[in-house]
Amino acid sequence: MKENHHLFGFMREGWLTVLIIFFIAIAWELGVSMGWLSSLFFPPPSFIATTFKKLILNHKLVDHTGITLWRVFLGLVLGGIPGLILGLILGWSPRLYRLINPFVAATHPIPKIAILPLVMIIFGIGESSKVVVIALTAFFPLLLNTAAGVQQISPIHFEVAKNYGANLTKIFTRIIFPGSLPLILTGLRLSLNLALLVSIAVELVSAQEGLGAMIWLAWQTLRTEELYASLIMTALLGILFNFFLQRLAVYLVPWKTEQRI
Amino acid sequence: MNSINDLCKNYQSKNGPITALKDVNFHVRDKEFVCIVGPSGCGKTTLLKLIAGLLESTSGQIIFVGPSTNSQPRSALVFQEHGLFPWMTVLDNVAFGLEMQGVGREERHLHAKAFVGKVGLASFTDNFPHELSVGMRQRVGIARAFVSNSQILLMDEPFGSLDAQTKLILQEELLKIWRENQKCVVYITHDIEEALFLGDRVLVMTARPGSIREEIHIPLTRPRDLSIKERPDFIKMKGHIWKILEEEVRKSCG
Repeated sequence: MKENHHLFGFMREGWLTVLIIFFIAIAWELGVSMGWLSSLFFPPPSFIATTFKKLILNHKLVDHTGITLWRVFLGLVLGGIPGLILGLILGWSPRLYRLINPFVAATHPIPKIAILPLVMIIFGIGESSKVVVIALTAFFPLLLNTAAGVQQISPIHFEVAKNYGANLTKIFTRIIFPGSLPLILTGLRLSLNLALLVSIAVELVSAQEGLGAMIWLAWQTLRTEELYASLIMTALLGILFNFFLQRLAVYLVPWKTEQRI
Repeated sequence: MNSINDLCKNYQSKNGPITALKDVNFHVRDKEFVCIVGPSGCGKTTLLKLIAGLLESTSGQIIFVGPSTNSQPRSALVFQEHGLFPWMTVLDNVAFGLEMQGVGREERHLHAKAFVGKVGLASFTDNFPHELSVGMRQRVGIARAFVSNSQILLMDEPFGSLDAQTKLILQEELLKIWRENQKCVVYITHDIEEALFLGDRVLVMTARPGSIREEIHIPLTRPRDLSIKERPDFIKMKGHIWKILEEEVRKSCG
């Protein structure tokens, strides 16, 4: 049996990571107390930690994080699911792929945050325009990876299915979907991470609530310790997402234990 | 009697039309094991895909007795390799044909389990193909073909990528399963010994455009074991087929 890299590897290298972070924190703390670092720009880690704890206990950070997570979730559902479905269809039909691909190629590279003003003209300045931008962001990685996932399924698998009399429904549920699942999960990881990134970007420019708004407010009031605390929370979300997706991959694609999504 | 009449297949390629098969004629009796040998590129796989209904013939007829409905496909293919679904367990792979025929989960798993046992993989039912050796995977492919209620099994060099020892063992196992569950088998190979060992008849194909050049009855009694390969009549037939193939290979090399 091959070694399960991403579980044990994660733990081994995980200790090293913790150690490195620990040493950087000590050097930082020391640097501030010796006066080498400005405590305005680089508040000591101990102060950031107590601020982080305070913001958790008074629910401020928890509430803002919850709002950001809700936006990420809505964007992922509204953008990711259509991306997945369209990806399955485009991957399956070379003709539709040729028809639609130019539009995808033209719209995909546009930074979705750049069309926020346009979206706000259409959807108003409220919550919906934020979610639309996040959904557009989540749409493309899932679409492209799902289509690629279907396209890389060996033609032999379709021949076997046809030979044994599979109908269209069975071809989708037993061949196309499971066959493309490893790349669908890759698409999901990209969509999720980008949705978080764009959520915070949208909140930075146009929200009163959410992690991005909190970061912006902390900067405007020069409370750098709160700024760092929000950044740490953002980083923790990223780590959490990726850990969750790795576990999901182990569960959903057991035939690809080597899969690193 | 199942028969293939004047079967032709043309392809369009960049360099113009190619005739892959020209006037292929043969028949397959009920419960008969027919082996087809031929030089590489003579259209053996094309022939099998035509019979399986994966390709459309240019002209000619393929006539099979017995039902050919959605609930009971007439043929089951065993591929050279990579024929198994990597995302299904051994059991689900073997049960695939029954699943496509709409057989319920419990019933199809029951049938599939019996055949997984017959090919000696009873302790691997819940494993995925990547956890098996190449030889074990081909056993799964064979079990899958036998479990489906197909009238005719089509095998495209199923042991082509195996080492010599594994190949011999699997040949014997294949004969054993076939004896217990008699069906028509059309078996393609480029290995003359294998064809003689397995088949009731061996059809020798010409170089492209492929057609049947000679039909050889194998009068060896069954059950057969590996020792028949030492018999003088076996060796004589082998020499005969080899001579035909050599001619055809030379023809195709120009």
